[in-house]
Amino acid sequence: MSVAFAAANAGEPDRPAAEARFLALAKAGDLDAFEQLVALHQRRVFSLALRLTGSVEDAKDATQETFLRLHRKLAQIDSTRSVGPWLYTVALNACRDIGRDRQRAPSVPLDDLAATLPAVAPNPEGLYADRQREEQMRAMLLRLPEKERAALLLREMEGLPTAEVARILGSSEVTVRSQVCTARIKLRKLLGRIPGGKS
Amino acid sequence: MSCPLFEEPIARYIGGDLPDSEAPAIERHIHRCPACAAWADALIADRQWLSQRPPEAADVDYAGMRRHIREAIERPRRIWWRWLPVAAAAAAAILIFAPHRPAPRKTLTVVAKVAAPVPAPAPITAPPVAPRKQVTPKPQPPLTLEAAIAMFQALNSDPAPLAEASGSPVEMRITTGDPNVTIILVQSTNGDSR
Repeated sequence: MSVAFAAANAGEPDRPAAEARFLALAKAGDLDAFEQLVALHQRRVFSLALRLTGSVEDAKDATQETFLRLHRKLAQIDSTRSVGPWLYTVALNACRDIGRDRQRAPSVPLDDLAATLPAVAPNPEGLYADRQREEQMRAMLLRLPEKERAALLLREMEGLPTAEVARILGSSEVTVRSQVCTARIKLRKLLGRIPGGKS
Repeated sequence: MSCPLFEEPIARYIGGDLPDSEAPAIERHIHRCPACAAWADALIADRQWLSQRPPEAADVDYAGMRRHIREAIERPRRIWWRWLPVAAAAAAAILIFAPHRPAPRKTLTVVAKVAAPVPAPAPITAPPVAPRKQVTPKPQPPLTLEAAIAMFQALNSDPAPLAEASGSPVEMRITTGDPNVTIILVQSTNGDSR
């Protein structure tokens, strides 16, 4: 559907309206519209999955699985609401499934793990330094308990309000605030222990 | 090293999760304590880093990812359509070339399933029983209609004993040489015969 494709590539001036239109068309069986719906959300889902799983390949698998589940459940999606929170919930589950399958939970002690990580380069604005810092961040994120990691990323990375994060995680707002705060402190302390890491 | 008592309140303050009534006290402490100020700065830097997309997210082939998703969605449909002409050709070949013959009689196969080996029961000793004698009926000559009527008339001459003994009509079946013909003679309790 060329009209849908053009709308998706027009700089997303009206993202919710475009999403609603693509969703309605996708529900009617329009696969091109579904593809545009994927295009609207895949960067966010992939980025979240990358920091949840710590692996590009796992993040790709989780992203693909998330959108395949979306396609299977299209009929159940509420057209009046953004599909984003639903996607985050499914992405979290997909990442959890992948992590369970591959047993990626790091069992390496922190000191050993820190010794294997590259120190941050002197020039923090360089791309290489950014990648190193991101690697450190992801490695430390994986040290956090799953719920704390998810709560922190949904709040800080996706900028979702506490109530929305609570809904996605099936927790109370009080619990989410506590999880986010604890995760912030743990992450900072973990990063502070890396040689050359910001403290 | 930040003040342990202020670690958590500062972390909440940075994330905007601290009640407004408590925020001024935390701000005052951060201004006075360099260690806690450094702690706050590091937390803010972490938040800023996390709010950005990971650098790898820029390198991913998103179009290729969408193509994979689409292929995965279309795969079941394609398989179905791919085999449709083959199935149609096979069905046509069966209809054209298969010899017309009556449907074979269904044969029942008895499958004995044994869940687990059963231990052999103890032999039961019983007194020997003499085998029952096989009684074979003697072949009788076919009864003619005239003979049957004569027999019935002989019975009908004195119906009282038969009717009284049974309390119901007396019925006599005579088989003839033809297996399809059976003569039934009935004597009712009042002595009438038909």
